[in-house]
Amino acid sequence: MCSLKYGMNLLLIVEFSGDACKKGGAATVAQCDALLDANGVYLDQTWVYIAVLFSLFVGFRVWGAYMLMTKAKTVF
Amino acid sequence: MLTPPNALNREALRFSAALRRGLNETPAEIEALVTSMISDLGLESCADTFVGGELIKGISGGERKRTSIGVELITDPSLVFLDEPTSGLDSYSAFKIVELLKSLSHSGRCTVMCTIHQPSSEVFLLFDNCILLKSGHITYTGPVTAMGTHFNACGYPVPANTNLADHAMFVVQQAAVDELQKKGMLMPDAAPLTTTPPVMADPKPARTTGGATQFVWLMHRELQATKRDKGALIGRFGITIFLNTLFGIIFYGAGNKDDTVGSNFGDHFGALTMIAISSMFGSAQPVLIAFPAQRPIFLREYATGTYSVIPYFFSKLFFELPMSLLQAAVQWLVVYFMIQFQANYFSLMLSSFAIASAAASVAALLGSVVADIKTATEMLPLVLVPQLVSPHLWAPSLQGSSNTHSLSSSRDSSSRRRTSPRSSAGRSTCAA
Repeated sequence: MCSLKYGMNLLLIVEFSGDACKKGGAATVAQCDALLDANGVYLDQTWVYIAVLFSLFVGFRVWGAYMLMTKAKTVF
Repeated sequence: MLTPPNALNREALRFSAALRRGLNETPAEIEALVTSMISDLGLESCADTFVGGELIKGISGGERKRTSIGVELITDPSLVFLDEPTSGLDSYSAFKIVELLKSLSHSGRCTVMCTIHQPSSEVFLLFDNCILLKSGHITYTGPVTAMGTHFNACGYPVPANTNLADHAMFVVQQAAVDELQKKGMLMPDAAPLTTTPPVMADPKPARTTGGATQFVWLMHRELQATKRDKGALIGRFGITIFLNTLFGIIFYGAGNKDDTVGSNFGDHFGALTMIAISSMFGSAQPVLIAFPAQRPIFLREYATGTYSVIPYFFSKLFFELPMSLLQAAVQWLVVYFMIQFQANYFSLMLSSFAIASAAASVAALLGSVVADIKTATEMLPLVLVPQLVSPHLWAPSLQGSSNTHSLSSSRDSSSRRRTSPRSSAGRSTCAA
């Protein structure tokens, strides 16, 4: 359900890892690593986060379409 | 309101004709049908005016009713059943509507049935036949012109200068069923009509066009509606610009400060979090409102076989996605340079778009389930607010704002934790 959590994971990976974080030197890199760690964000799971977000996107849409179809059986 | 308010009168008729008359007609033939229907309904003067609604100025109530009738008539039905077609109209507009219905039925085009409350004498006398109901019992059925005689014969004489319809209503409302039965007002041996919920006879009405055609027409209508609803567009992007400018001012330059200082790091993280939350709400709100707002239109069009659920849902989706992407682009255009984020603009924007799309899907589900905008708006926090307190979301900001010595001391271990625990464990095993 928590799209925000997985989306935040992606944002944190983008902003607080790799070159974006190295600009501040070793201390900043450590800070960024600790941030990702505290958030439970793992770089090797980036595609998992993307897949979860995509699943939420598709799953809720399909569920919504089904509910709309069910509700449309009566006109009131 | 059963016709899209920001569609032109002519467009509403064209949409119905194109999707409900099948593929046998060419666009030119459909256009000719629409023009003919506009002429038959006396809508020439407002053919290119918005249908309108509560918030959008458009044609008058009587013209709107005629348009709704035209949307059905354009399919050449053999029977038209209307539920209170004169409700909300002044006496003259009501008369014109019923006069139109009478001319349609007398021309042999279709049989017209309708329920009607409080008709004026002039309106009532336009009907050929009438069925009067009392608690599910039929108290009168027959020609309108013979109704007065029937009431007189049953001991309820019609007073002079009295509207026959009003008199009939007073009698059936005031007299008990037993009394009416004694006076021979109820049809003999007639069982009361049942009040079972109005379930459609055929839940899957026959559709005359394919899903692709339906999708194209729905997309076109969606595009027109969005272009014309400038208030909603300004609201959506205006609020996005305003809120993100506010974030930009509050967290100005936070992305480019020394992150080893706890408060700077907290600001940096805080800015990112606020933008993510803003993406979630900003995208969910318009989708949430769209479904209940169009619900009566959807139900009518679905029930009449205009289109099926899948093309409808896809038309919404394919229009919503570019809008969300554009919204995310605008959002990051505002905050990216003000807050001076370090990462690539497009990566941040796409991550934000992913949050927005997933949140909009939740809103689409909620909007599909509830009946009205009020309920949907009340339920939105129930779905989105718990996400704000999900585990880990706030933990780093607390840690970041405390001090940095523990972070520095754990540098070695933290670099290990940048991969998932399972992967780290696997690597250790291999090394051993």
